[in-house]
Amino acid sequence: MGTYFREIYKVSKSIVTGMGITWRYFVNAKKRIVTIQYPHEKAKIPSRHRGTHFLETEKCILCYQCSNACPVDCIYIEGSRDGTVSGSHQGKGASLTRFSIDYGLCIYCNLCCEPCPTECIHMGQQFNLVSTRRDEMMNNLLTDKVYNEADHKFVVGKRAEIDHLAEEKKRIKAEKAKAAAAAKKAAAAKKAAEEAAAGDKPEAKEAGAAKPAAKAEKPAAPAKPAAEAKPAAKPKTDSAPKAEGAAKPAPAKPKADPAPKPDVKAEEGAKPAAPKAPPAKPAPEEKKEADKPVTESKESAKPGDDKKKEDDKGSSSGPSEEEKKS
Amino acid sequence: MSPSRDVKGSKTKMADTANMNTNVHEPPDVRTEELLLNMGPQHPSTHGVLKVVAKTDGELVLECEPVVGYLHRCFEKCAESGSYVQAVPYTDRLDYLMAMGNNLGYCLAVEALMKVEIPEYADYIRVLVTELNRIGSHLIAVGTFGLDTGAITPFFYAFRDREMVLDILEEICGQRLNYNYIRPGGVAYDLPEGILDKISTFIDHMEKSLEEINNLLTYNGIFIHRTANVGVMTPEVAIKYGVTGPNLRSTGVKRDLRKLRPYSIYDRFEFNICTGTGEYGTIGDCWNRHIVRTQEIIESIKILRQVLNAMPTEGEHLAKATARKFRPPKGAAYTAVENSKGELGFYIASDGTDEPWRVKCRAPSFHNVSVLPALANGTMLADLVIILGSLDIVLGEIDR
Amino acid sequence: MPETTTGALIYQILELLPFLKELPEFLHIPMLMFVTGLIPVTVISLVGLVGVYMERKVSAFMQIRLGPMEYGPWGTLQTLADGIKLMGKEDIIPREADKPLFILAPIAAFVGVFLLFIAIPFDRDIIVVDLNVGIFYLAAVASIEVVGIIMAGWASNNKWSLLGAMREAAQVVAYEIPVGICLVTVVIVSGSFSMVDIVEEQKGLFLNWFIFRNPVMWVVFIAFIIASLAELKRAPFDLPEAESELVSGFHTEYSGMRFSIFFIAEYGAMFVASALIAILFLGGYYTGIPFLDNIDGILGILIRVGALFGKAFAFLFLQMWIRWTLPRIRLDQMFYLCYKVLVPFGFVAMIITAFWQMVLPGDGFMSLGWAPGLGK
Ligand code: SF4
Ligand code: SF4
Repeated sequence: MGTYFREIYKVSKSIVTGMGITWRYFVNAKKRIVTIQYPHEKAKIPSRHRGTHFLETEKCILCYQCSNACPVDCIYIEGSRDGTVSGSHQGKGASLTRFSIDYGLCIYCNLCCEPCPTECIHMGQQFNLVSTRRDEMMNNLLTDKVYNEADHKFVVGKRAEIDHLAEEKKRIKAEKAKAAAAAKKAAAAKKAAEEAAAGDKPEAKEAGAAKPAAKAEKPAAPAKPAAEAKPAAKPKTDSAPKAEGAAKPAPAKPKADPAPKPDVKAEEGAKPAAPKAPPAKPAPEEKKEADKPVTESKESAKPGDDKKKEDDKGSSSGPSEEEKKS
Repeated sequence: MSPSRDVKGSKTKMADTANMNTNVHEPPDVRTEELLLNMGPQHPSTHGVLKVVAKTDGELVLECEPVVGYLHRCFEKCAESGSYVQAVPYTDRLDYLMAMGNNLGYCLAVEALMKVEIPEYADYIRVLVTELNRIGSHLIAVGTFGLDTGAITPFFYAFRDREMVLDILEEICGQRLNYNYIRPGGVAYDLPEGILDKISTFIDHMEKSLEEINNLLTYNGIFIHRTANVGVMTPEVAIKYGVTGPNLRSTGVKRDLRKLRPYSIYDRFEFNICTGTGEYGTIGDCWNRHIVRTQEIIESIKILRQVLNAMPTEGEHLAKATARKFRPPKGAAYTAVENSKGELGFYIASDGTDEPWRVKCRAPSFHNVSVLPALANGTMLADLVIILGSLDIVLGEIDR
Repeated sequence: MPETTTGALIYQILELLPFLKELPEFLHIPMLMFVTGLIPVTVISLVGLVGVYMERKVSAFMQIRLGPMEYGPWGTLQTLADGIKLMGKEDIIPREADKPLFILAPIAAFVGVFLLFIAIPFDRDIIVVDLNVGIFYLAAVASIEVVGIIMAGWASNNKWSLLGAMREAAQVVAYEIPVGICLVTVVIVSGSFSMVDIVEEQKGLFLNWFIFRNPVMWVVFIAFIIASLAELKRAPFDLPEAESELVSGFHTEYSGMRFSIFFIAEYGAMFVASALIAILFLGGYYTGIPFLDNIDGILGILIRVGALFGKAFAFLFLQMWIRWTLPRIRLDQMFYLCYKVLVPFGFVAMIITAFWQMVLPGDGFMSLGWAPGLGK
C-alpha cells in the first residue's frame, strides 16, 4: 500500500515538474524561440559553408585535377590547351567550352577544391538547389546557370575544333621532336622499366582495377605496359571484379576496344610532359554518356608516356572514370 | 504479459502462465488470430527504412524480426574503387549522425597502414570534433527516444542543442552532417578563429540544458514506467549478439574502446565509463540505455573541457605524407573506434596501389539491431517501439 | 428542486423568428430542428478552428517554435487555409475498404459530438434542450463517438487502424466507469441531473463552486480531468492514434474532408469536455463574482457565455499543456490507472461526499461558517 501511494506521489510530482518546465518555456516563448522565418530572414551561413561551386574561370588551367579528385565523377570539363577555341571561355592558357557539375550527383565533399593548383574552384554559399527536373541539376559553372540544351549544342559542336587544334599541335610537336625522339625514348624506357620493376604485380592490378567497367581506354595505367613500347593494354573487363583485373598480366595484348567506341585510332603521341589527350570528335550522339568530356586522369600527365596513345578517342578517360563507379 | 505463451501454436495457450497456478480451464472457444504486422519500411518509429515483421496476438508481440537492407548502397565496394581519400566522404554516410567518428575510424585504419605520424594539433582537433559530434548524436538518441514514448517536446529541446553542435561543426568544416573533415594524416582544414570560445559557451549551455531534458523526460514518472524493466538485456545476451556501445554498457559491462584500447589521444583525458545505473528498473533495460546516453553527454563535455585546456594554440593540421594521392605499402590494418553507437571497425587491405584492395566495415548498429528479437519477443507492441528506439540504430550504417 | 425548462431555446427561437410561425404547421418541427441544429454545428466548427490554432501555437511556444505565421497576422488564418485545402483534396477510399462503413464512420463520430452540444448550457436560457436527465444523457451520448471510430478502424481494412480502434474501444469502455463515478458525485452534491440546475446550484461567490463544496471534491475534479483526457484520447492517453506505434491509428487511411471531420469532431469533443469540467466543478457560466453574475440583459448574457468559454478554453489549454509535456502511457498502464487508481479514489471520494452531504447539507464550506453571508 505504501509503495502504491508513494508511486502515485512520485509520478504526480514528476508530472508537475515537467509541466513547470514546459510552462516556463511557454511564458518565456519570446526569448527562447529559435525559429528563423526562412524565406523572410536567413540564417548566417559560415564562410566555410560547402554550397554549390563557383569557378574563377580566368584562373583555370584545364588540368583536370578537380574532376579526377571527385569521388562521384560529376565534374564535366571540356576545352583545349592547344589554342583558342572560338566562342569559348578563356582560362589561364586554356579555352574552356564546358565546365559543368551535376548536382544530382555531387555530394558537396570539397575534394575537388583541394587539389586545384590555381585555387580557382570554390564551394560557395548557395545551398538552395531546387529543381523539378533532373537535367536542371546540371550547372554550368562558366555562366553560373543551368547547363541547358544550347550549352550542350555548343559543347558538342566545338569538339571538332578542339580535336583539330590538338592534332595541329601534335603534328608540329611531332615534327619538332623527331630529332630528339630517339634519345628521349631511351631515357623514358629506362625509367619506366624501373618503375615496372618496383611496382610489379600491383601495378598490373591497378591497370585492371582502375576501370573494372571501363568502356574506353584509359591512358593512365597503361603507362607501365608501355615500357615495352607496346600500345597500352587495357584489360577490358566489363564488370569484372577487381581480383580478376589484378590477375591480368601486365603485358596484356592490346585488345580491340570495346563496342562503345569502335573508332580507335592509334595516334603518334610522342608528347612532352603533361600532354593532354586531345579529344577526338565523337559522332554527335544523343546519349549524354557518350558526350562526356575528356577528363584525363592525372597519371597521364606523367612524363615518359611516349608510348603510343592508341586511345585518343573522343571520350578517352573521362567516361571511363565515370563508368568505373557505376 | 506472459512471455511463456506458446509462440508457435496458432491458438493461444494460457495453461502455463505464471499467475494461474490452479487447474485452468481451456478458455471458451474464442477464435483468436495472429496478426502479421509489417512495421516499416515506412513507419514513424523505425528510425529510417527498417522493416520489422511482427507476429502479434492482439497487443502482444509473439515474434519479431528486423529486416534490413533497404538502404544498401555498396559502401565497401565504393570505397574500394576510389582512392583512399575519396572513400572518406562515403564513410560520412554510414552513421550519418556521427560522421566525424566514422571519418576518424576510417582514417585511423589508413594511417595504421601508412604508419604515418599525426601532428599533435590535428589529434586534438580530432578529439574535439568527435566528442562534439558524439554529443550531437546522443542528443538525437535521447530526443527520438522521447518521441518514441510519445513525448514530443523534449525532442525539440534536444534538437535545439544539436543545432548548436551542427552550427559549430559547420563553421569548422562547412557541412552540417557529412563532414568529410578528418582525413588520413590529420584534418582537412585548420580550426576557424574564435571557434573554441563558441565551443566552451556551448558546453556550458549543454550542461544546463541536459538537466532540463532529464527533468522533463528522463525522470518523468510515465517515462520511467514506460521504459524501466522493458527489454532487459543481460550482459550474456549482449555479448552473444555482439552488441557494443551504450547498449552494452547499460548492462553493466565496462567496455569503452576509448579507455580499453585508447586510440588517437584519448589516453590523455580523464573520463568515466558510464554504465547502467539501475536507479530505476533493472540494469540493461531501456531506461538504463537511455540514462547511459545522457551520462555520456556529460562525459563528452568533460573531455571537451580538457581538450580546450590542453590544446596547443596552433600547429600543423595535416601530415605532409598524406596531403596528396598516396600509396600505402602492402598490408592490412584493422582499427576500431568507440562511436556513439558502439564499436565501429574498419579493416583495410592494401595492395600497394592508391586504391584500397579491400575495405570492410564493422558497423555497430548492425549488431545492435540483431538483438531486437531477443529483447522484444513476448512484449507488447508499444514496448517493441520503445526497445527499438532504445537501441538507437542508424540505418545508414546497418545497410551500408 | 427547481422546475426544468425543457427546450427553452427552441421556444425562444420561435419568438425570435416569427416567420417560422407562418409556415405550415407540419414544417415547424423540421425548421426548428434545422435552426437549432445550426448552433452546435457552428459552435463545433468555430471551436475546431480556434482550438486547432491554439493547439498549434501552444505546442509551438512550448517547443521553442513560432508555429504558423504565414496566413493572416500571426498565422491566424492558417487553420482556415488548411480546412480549405483539405476540402479540395482528392477523396481517397482504399480499394479493399468497406465502403459504406468507411464513409459513415466520420459522420458517426461527428454526430456523437454534435449530440453532446445539445445538453451544454451556455447560459441559463441558451441551451438547446435542458433535459431533466442532462448528465445521464451526456454520459450516454459520449460513447457514440467511439462507434464511429470503431467503424473507421474496421472499414479501413488496415491493421494499424484496426489496432487503433480496438484500443479506443477498450479505453472508452474502461474510462466510462471513473467518469460515471465523478458524475454521480456531482449529482449527489447538486441534487439534480439537469445541467442548468447544476450550474444554478453553484451561483454566488466562487466558494460556492462544487470543487469547494467539500474537502474531497478536488480529488473528483482531478479524476474527472484525467478520465476525460482518456475518453478524448488525448495525450498521454492517445493510444488509439499513437503515431509512434500505430502510424496514425484509426484514421490512418483517411484523408481530405473525411479526415478533417474526424479532426473537428475531436476538437469539438475536447471543448465539450472542457466545458463540462467548468460546468460540473467551476460554476459553469457564472463568473463566481456575484455582482457580475446578476447583470441582466444582453451584457449579462455576454458575460456569462464569455465566462463559460473562458473556463472551457482554460481547460482546453490544460489539455494541450499536458499533451505537449508528457509521454504516452502503455495500454496496461492505462487500465491500471483506470481500475486501480481512478476508480478507488473516485469511489472513496464519492462516499465521503455522500456522507458530507448528509451531515452538512447545503453550501459546502460556507456552511462551516468560512464565508458567511456571501451566498446567493
Ligand atoms: S564537391 Fe565533391 S562531389 Fe561535388 S564536384 Fe566537388 S569533388 Fe565532386
Ligand atoms: S583543378 Fe582548378 S585549374 Fe585544374 S581544371 Fe579544375 S578548376 Fe581548372
